[in-house]
Amino acid sequence: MTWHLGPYTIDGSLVLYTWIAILLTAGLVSWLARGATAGVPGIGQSLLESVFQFIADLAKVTFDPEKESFLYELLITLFLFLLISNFEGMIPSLHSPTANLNLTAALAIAVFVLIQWYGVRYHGLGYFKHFAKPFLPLLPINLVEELSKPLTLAFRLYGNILVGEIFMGMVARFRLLFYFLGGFVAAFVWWGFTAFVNVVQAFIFMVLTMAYVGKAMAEE
Amino acid sequence: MISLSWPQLLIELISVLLLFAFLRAKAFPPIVKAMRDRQERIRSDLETAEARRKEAEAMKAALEAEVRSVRERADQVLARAKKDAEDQARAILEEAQRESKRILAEAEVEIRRQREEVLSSLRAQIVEISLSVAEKILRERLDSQADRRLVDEFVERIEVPQ
Repeated sequence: MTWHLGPYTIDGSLVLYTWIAILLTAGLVSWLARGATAGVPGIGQSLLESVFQFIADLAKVTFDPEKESFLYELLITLFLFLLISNFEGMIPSLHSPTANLNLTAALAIAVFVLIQWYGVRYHGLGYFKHFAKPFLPLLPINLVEELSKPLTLAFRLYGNILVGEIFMGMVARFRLLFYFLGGFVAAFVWWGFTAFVNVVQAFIFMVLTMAYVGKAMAEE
Repeated sequence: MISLSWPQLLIELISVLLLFAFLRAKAFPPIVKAMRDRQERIRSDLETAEARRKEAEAMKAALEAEVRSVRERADQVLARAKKDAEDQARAILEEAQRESKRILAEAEVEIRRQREEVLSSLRAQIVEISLSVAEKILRERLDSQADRRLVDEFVERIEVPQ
């Protein structure tokens, strides 16, 4: 499924995988949050609340999640969506949309815009002056540093998830080789490691976004 | 796979933003509200408990003060009762002493009166005896009226030892 739009191509399968992850996320959250009560929460609600609480506790270091509910809920959305996207690749015949640079770059660019937006919101247009600090000649270095943020965000996530997928594909394809390398046990270990990486990468993307935006909020 | 295409980026971004919009509008509010409500409830419960504790402490202090005042009052009543009893005992004693003195004085008066009585009767008898003796002696010479006066004067002059 590839569409052409002038000089650009659109990968339909990526859109499909993205939307599968989106629907899974939306469905899972809605399902877990059903009948949410302020009393004794059920298992689903507890699970979801622990994610909320975990991210709120992290966020409290840099901003108040009650006041900045937009950013807070955006971070939760990012984490849950990336988590499910990363694990989507472990479902047979599906692929992680995060194993495609187009999604991770789109998110990273959005995060970049978010950082600048929060910087300006907290410090006015004078926020951009910090690129020339501590003195003007450092401007190019500061700019490179700033641009490296979305770049590393996009490539870190993309690379990690892609490697997991490729390796899982290899385990599936070269069965004989893996039989000699440990067979089921080796495959299982790799499977566990991939699951671990999936969680960690979703977490890292979310935490770095939080840290970058928090730094922009606190910038002199 | 590494080729970037701007329309693709846009589609991905819009898709994820749609997810965010949905979650923020529909799925998150119940959870956020439940957590906030629970927090609020726990806070109000703690505040209520604190208020109750303070109330109980105040009540305890009031009761202790009450007990102290009651005990003080009881001590006062006891002390007064003791003092009253002592006063009464002293009064009774004094009364008894007074009574005994009075009885003693009365007895003395009575004794003196009786002695007077005895003495005067003695005197009369002496007069009688003296007269009868004198009569016997002076029967012929003296009339008895004048003699009696004479003897009476004599007897008056007799000193009676006290």
